[in-house]
Amino acid sequence: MKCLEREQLFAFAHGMLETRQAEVVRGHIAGCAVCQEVVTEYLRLDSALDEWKPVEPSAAFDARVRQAVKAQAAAPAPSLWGGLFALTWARWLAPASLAVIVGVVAVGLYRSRTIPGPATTPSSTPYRGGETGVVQPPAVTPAPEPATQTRDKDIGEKKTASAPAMPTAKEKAPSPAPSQVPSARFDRPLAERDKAVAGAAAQNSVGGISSLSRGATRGGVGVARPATISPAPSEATQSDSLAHAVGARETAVQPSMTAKTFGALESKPKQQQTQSAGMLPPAPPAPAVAQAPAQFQVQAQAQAQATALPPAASGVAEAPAPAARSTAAQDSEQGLATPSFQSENARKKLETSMKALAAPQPHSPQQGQLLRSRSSHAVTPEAPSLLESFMKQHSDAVLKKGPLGTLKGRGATKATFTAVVASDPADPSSSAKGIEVHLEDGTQTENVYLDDDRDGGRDNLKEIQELRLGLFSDKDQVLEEWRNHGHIDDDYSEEVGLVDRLEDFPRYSPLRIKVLFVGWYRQGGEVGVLMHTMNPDEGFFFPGIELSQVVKMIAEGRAFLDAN
Amino acid sequence: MAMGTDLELMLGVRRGDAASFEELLRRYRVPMVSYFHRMLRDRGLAEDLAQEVFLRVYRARERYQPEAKFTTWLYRIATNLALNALRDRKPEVLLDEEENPDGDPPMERFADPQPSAERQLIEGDRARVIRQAVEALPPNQRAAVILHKYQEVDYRQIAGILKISESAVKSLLFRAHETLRMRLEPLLRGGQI
Repeated sequence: MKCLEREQLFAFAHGMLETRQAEVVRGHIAGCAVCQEVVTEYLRLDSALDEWKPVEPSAAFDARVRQAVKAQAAAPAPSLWGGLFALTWARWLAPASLAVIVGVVAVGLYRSRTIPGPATTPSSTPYRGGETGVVQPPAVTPAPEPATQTRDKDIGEKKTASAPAMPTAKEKAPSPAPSQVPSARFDRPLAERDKAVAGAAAQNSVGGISSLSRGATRGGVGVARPATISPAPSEATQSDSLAHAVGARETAVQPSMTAKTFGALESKPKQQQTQSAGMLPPAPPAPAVAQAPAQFQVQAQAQAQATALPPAASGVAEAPAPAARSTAAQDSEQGLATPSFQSENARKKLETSMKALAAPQPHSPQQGQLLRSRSSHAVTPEAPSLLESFMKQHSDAVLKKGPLGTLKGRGATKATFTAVVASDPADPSSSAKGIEVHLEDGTQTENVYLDDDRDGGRDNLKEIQELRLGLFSDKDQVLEEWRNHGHIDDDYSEEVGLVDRLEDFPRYSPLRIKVLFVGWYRQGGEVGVLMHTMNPDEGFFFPGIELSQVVKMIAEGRAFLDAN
Repeated sequence: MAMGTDLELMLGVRRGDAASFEELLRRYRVPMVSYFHRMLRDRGLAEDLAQEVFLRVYRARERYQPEAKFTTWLYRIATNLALNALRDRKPEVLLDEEENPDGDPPMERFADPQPSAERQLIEGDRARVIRQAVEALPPNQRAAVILHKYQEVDYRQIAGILKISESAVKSLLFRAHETLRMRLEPLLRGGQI
């Protein structure tokens, strides 16, 4: 008589078999002493494990829990996103505050040098400072020195008046017509603004530069929002900008703000923060924001060491986009391989995916007539080793890797994609497929794993997985949360053309970061793609990368996974 | 005192019924602290994390959707916290791994686990031998064994908690028990159970 598999006997001993299977095993062991002994062994082990008794909580445990819950109940309304921001903002507040102060001083100095004397804007309409109730002075550009005093005074007024409730971008009083006092808000169609931008830039280069500088201060909601180049910066808009700077400082001393208030405040200093860390391209006239905080310099140094590994050969995929074909050709000359598919079926699937994705994107570069910076998608030699190291770090046994490619944006920004089939070493029978995205901007990195069964970016999970528990069950909820906290608003959806890939991963679980939001974005005259995970505070802006490149990369990865 | 199923109690908590929360606390205080203690071998940390679980349950009360069993949800929170805590101890593990490039769990690095087990048996500390054997399992296996054996969570729920398939849970448990069986062989062979 042939003995049964041990695993089957184990399952029998622990009642894991279906009735019919259990009957078969029972019948077998009745006549097989060896198998009977194995089952007995498992039962004996099970009894032995009983000797490890549970521990009782200490006497103070219940009281501690009650106290914690009581404190929680007494706290302001639960703020999921506020909690997230508290984790991530804390790291940024100090450098952001410094950057804001330096930026304000720089703008002041710059204006005192470049603006020769009093000049009035075409508008005589007084500007009202939104809900703060502070009536701003007429849009008069004062002489250099008095102007400084006026601005200082404005800071004081704004600080006093706006501390209780900082108005959101939407709550601010409507700006006068663009021809009178240009607003940095998106209240005009993109093409129209671009036209105005071009005209303004031609008319008044000083104003253009100043506005770009302010653009760094006037961050977008949640992520980044481009600055509109104005023909002549009015005092009103400038003081408004200064008020945001004050808002940034006030944010630092009001840790218990509700999410709504935080979201409203967040839009302004956020960009300062991201810029100060090098996540976003620095605004031209504010050199301070390009200075990465010491902690990130250390991180960057460590990263540089990591990337000093010997280059590894790779099956590399590139995703040439129409606008980057010249560089694509160069890449091709450098011997970069195009993705290879293991079956014709995979290629067909990719073609199908690409056809579906070829539908016009909400904001293609053509539609927006956007400015374009250098765009390339070279494969970085260190990418394979970085990914290998990452996978090792997370103890994943990589069974198979798909086409690997890196989209390189302007500066040090790059996103490396790879399709991975992996198993948990603790469970070799397991198998998970996904697309790994490694995001870098020269100062920090982020790993996102797009999959249907597990997550490779556990460092990210640490901060948010529990907070997210049970919150989202579908993408609409996610988007609603974003809207509620000001990360997506009408401006955002109009201007960015949010493309979320959530539907591509049907087994999305709220416990995992499995979503890479990809948006076409324009910021301060830069064009690029914004990618971030479910955590809206973790956005990476990739100037110079096109959305189609990202989409193609994901499609290639999925095609590979489908074929494997 | 509020009575009822866990689900009813959780819905009560959602309505703001303090007695329901008290009852949940009463039901799960020992299981939670024990679970963390078994996972982490640190009583203080176990209580801290158990407290955090209850706090998160309370925080999430308004968003709670009774889609899965309450215990699955509860242990999912707990397991994530425990695995994160274990991961945060990684430096210690990494140090061990540096000495042990094969990556075997620390306990397996001893020349022969049997003498160690026997020695401890002689000391009469059977529970400690068992505890160390379980603790030497990889985190996922450890979580599966503790959930299955001590927390009495069935393997279907474990699949939901660990976000793996049911067959993967069975496989995980089988391999864990095989390891335990070998490590505890002296204890089992002694016929003292």
